[in-house]
Amino acid sequence: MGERSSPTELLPGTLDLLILRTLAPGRMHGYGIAQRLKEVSDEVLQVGESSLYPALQRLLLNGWVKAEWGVSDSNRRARYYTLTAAGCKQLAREREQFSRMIAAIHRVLEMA
Amino acid sequence: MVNVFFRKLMLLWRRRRLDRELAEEMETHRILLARDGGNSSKLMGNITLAREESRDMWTFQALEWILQDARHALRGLRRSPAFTAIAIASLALGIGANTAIFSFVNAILLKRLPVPEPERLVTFTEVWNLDTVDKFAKQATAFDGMFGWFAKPVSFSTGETAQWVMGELVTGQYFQTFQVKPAVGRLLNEDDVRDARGNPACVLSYELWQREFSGDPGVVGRSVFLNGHAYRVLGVTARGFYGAVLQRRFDVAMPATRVGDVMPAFGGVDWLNRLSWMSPMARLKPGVTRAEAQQQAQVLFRQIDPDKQRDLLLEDGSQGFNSMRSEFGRPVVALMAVVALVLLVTCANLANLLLARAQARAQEFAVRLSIGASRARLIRQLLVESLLLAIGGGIAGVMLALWINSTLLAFMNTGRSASMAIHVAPDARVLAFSILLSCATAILFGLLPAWQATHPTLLPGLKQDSAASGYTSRVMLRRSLVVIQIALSLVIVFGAGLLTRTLRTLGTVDLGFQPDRVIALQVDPAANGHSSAEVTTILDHILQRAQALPGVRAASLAAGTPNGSMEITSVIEVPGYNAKDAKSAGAVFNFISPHYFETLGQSLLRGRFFDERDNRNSPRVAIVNQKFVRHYFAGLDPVGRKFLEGGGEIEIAGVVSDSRDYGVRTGPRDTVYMPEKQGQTSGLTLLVRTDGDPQRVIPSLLGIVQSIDPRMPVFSVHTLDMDVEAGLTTERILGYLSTLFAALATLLAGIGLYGVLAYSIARRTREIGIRFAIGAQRRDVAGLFARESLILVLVGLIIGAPVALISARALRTLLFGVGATDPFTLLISVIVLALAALLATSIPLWRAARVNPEIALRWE
Repeated sequence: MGERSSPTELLPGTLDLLILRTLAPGRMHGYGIAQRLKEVSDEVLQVGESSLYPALQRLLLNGWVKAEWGVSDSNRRARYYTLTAAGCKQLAREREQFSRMIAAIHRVLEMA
Repeated sequence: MVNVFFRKLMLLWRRRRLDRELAEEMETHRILLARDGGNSSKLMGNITLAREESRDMWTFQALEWILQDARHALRGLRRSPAFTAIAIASLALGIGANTAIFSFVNAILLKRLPVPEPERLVTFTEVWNLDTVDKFAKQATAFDGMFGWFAKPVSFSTGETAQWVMGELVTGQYFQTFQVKPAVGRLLNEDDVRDARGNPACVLSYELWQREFSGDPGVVGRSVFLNGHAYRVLGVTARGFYGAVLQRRFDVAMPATRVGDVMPAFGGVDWLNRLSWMSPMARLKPGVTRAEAQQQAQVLFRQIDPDKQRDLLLEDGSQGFNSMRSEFGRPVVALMAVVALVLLVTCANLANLLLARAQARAQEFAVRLSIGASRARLIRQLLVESLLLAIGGGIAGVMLALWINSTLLAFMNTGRSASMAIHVAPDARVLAFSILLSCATAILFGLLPAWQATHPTLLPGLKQDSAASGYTSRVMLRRSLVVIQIALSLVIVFGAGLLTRTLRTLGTVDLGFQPDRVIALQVDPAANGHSSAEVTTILDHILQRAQALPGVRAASLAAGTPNGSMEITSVIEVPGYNAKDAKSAGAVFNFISPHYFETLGQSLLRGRFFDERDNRNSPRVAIVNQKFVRHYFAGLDPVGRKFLEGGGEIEIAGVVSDSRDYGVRTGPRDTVYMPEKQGQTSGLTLLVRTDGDPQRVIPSLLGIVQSIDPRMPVFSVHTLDMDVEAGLTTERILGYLSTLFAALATLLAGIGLYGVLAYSIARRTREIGIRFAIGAQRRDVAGLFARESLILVLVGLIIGAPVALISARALRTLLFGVGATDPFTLLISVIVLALAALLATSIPLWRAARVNPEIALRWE
């Protein structure tokens, strides 16, 4: 019950960014997004349902992704998410913000 | 943000599908994860929570919670129907009374005329003649339109029977100033008013058009008869426009130049240029302030009429000519204060009930708090419950208010003909008021109990023990509420007592005449086009035939009647009397036929009554009242002495007793009675004193009028005591309503006291049992609780008395024959409340004294 949803806590607000980035190459279903994040990050980032699906609903509501039903590789009905034009813009925006913040954090860590 | 809101709104209808899809999506996730060898239950965390959180994304959370709370509260309320019924009924009374009185406040003090930008309208504190109005309207630059106005009932006929309708005499820019558009045809303009002597034209109101012509557009160009004169209908005003008076409705607008048709009584007078009779009104140009306009108007006014050195004063005209503001403004505000207090008592009472209710649910709250519900959540839930009660009470209250309104209006309109009726329709503002009021009361009576009930340290915890710590604080709160109720009730009861005593005193005042069994019949032959000479003959004829009727003791014609609308004042000069100022050298004039005093029951003190010899050709004579003699002759016998009026001498022939002709509250005024043959010839009222029931004579009187001229409209027929009664309408409404509200407040305070005592006794049943067991008498036990009650009542009364004395000062101008700090009334009020408290105490006390010790000891 009290288990943490991922071994490494994400920086707050970065999950949306990561999902948007993951969807950038093309459409993907929820499980796919989670798997992709895990693979690319060498299993450092593991996103559980309890954060993934609320995040996806939030992105849907904001109009940054859209969803449609399709058939998965295992022949199951799955909901596929695609980035919208507004989502692309949002991704660029968040990415830039994130870079700036990382750079800032880095400068603080490296200071003499 | 806005987009998100609309998407949520659209998703509202597809809630179930979204839910299903989400579930399916997660199921897929779980299966895929299992296939890849992951431990689904470990990795996925709390699935239900995940689903709920995902779902929360597309719901309006606050709304959702409130709806959920509302459903919960509804179930709770349905389980305790008695509580719900009492709560809603008392709220309905409180909110209903407030809404009803507020709609009067609204109609009298807040509402504005339904015309574009009413805030730009101004009235002048003046009465002008037509010439001044015309010149002013042409030359003033500060205004977008300016007119003179005068209202009087006129006889309206399309050719057959006549009826009285409300006429407005207006100058050419009337409709332009109000910016009214026609529904059909066109409206009066300056040319119509100028040409009206040769070519009379009029404009009908939308309501008259609907009523008399069923909205037929063909009415334009038709002829109608106003006071017997043919007028061409130019058009009809747009729907919703009802004239220049806020609470009245006009029926027909006529050119001011036709004043002779409306006021034939003074046929010989130069209405157009000498007499001042029109109330002016204007619309300020955009951007012009009232002060600027006043300055310009002042300069112009002095140019037009250099004799007049008075200062002009421009007043807010957004309410039009609001005659009710001065008459009913104060009473209505006083009533508003009373009903507001009643609502406060209601709230205190409900808070008390809710506290008792919360006590019963303390266990439930303790459990919910301990398993993680937040206190805010519980308070919100309790507030939603209060809000539901308030909404229920509010809806019932508005319906009650509509009923109270129509009843009050019927009361106020008794004795007024339909064309003079007062209109007070609730509007959007009244509705908004009652909604806001309902919400405010919900918070007022709900917040304190909710706060108290969920206070963690006050909760008894999960223990069954009833002697827990919350008890004292809760009881103190309930006791304070009862004290407040008693104090507020005393304020209301005292106010009601003062107003009731005022009404009683007014009812016992000696009027100086006997209004009962006197019929006043107003008929104006001139209103059907009869000439001045014919009018005299017709009225004399009616008078003679009326005197000959069986059951008639005396009959008379008179220009003025007690409490009537006609009042003629004139400046006089009394040799030997030095007037301090212009105002003190005047008197009221009444023109009467010989048997006037006999008809009204006023007695002759000196000299003689008029008789047939006092006519047009004989020397002018007068009978004066005692007040006049005291004022002008220092109480000495004036018979045979002379005074001057309008350049002519008048000899005093007699002195009569004083009478209160201008309402019970107003004392007698200096009055000069003259034979009607020596003054007015029209606009007279026939007064008839009967031996028996006046209603039996009225048909015969109407028959006489009909037999002379069937098209002659009878303006009104009623008895004088109705006029006296009507003059006391305000006082009666105030007296009755405040008494009603005082009774209500007292009842509520009684219920509050009863509740606290009953609760206290229930809590201490075991203690009572022990007391009995160790030998206490019933008397002792009863005394225990009687003391509690006595202290509450005493504290309430001690707090309430000074508040009552201070707040009653606001009523001072409404009182008559009783002071605002009348100790006797205060004593009576205290006794009334004490008796109510005694009643409320005795029932629980009786129960306490009959507690069975054997059962009580096993209590709980």
